[in-house]
Amino acid sequence: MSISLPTVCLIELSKTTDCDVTLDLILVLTVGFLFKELLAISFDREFAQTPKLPVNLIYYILLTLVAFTIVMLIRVVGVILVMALLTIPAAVSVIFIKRLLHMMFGAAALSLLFMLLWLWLSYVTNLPSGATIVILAAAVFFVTHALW
Amino acid sequence: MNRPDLNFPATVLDVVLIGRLNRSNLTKPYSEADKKAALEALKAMGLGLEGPKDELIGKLSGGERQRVFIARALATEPKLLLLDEATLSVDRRLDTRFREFLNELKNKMTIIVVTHDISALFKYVDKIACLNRRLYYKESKQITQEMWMEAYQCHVDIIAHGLPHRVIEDY
Repeated sequence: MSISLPTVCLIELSKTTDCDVTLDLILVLTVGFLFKELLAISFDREFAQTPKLPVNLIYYILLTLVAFTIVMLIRVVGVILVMALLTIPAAVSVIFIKRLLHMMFGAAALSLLFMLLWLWLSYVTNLPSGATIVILAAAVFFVTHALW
Repeated sequence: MNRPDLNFPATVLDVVLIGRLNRSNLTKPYSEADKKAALEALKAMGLGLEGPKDELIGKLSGGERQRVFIARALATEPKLLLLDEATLSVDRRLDTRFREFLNELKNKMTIIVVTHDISALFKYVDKIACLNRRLYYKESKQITQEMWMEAYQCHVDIIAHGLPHRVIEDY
């Protein structure tokens, strides 16, 4: 039995739920509004406390955002590989990009690229999709780290 | 509490701007005034426009990084500035410039400088206190010989600055 690549893409897309969209919106909006505070507490939490910022609250918000992301990613690659998919795009983009904001966009773009390549790769090789994306991402990570 | 993470992708300007955070600009972007204050603080620390404001904080040398952190403290526009060996890993020329800058600042805020380096007692200080278990303080710019002996049990002959200025009285 053979289905075409666009059909595979559509099947994958149809797995997106309203819940995913809502979580994505929450993520983007929270990071948009709290960007400078998130940067401050990630860099130096001790100093961020001096202007009486609600440091703990912001920190828990950050953890919640990470949890949301993990929940969405687990459905794509499963529990074990979620760490790889979460960290590799960021680890690759930090090589090329210095600023945190640009790095976020860079990592998101890389993730998208990985996803598209992964769909195509697992389609032509008929390998399990979750593992393929992580192998792909890890390969990119090691190559970029070796070259730059 | 954790120390600053030096591998963090934050530029020098990002770090100094953290000094401008407060409750009223929570969820809002930094204003132009914030950016101006941050750049001014950097300039005061000798890291001006030509300086590494877009450089990653982890790429700087120890002395430069210390200057960035002092700039961050200055950017908060504090009423009281406590400097504990603040210019320890900073070169002499910048140290002098920093003292001159503190001299301008002292009209706006109280500045307390803690140092082990006697020659760091600079001509701009208004009051000197010696501390060794006990605080020896005479509400003056001079350290008396008794004060000195009592606190540190050793003689000091001369402390030279650019302009001759006596902080130890004759004996």
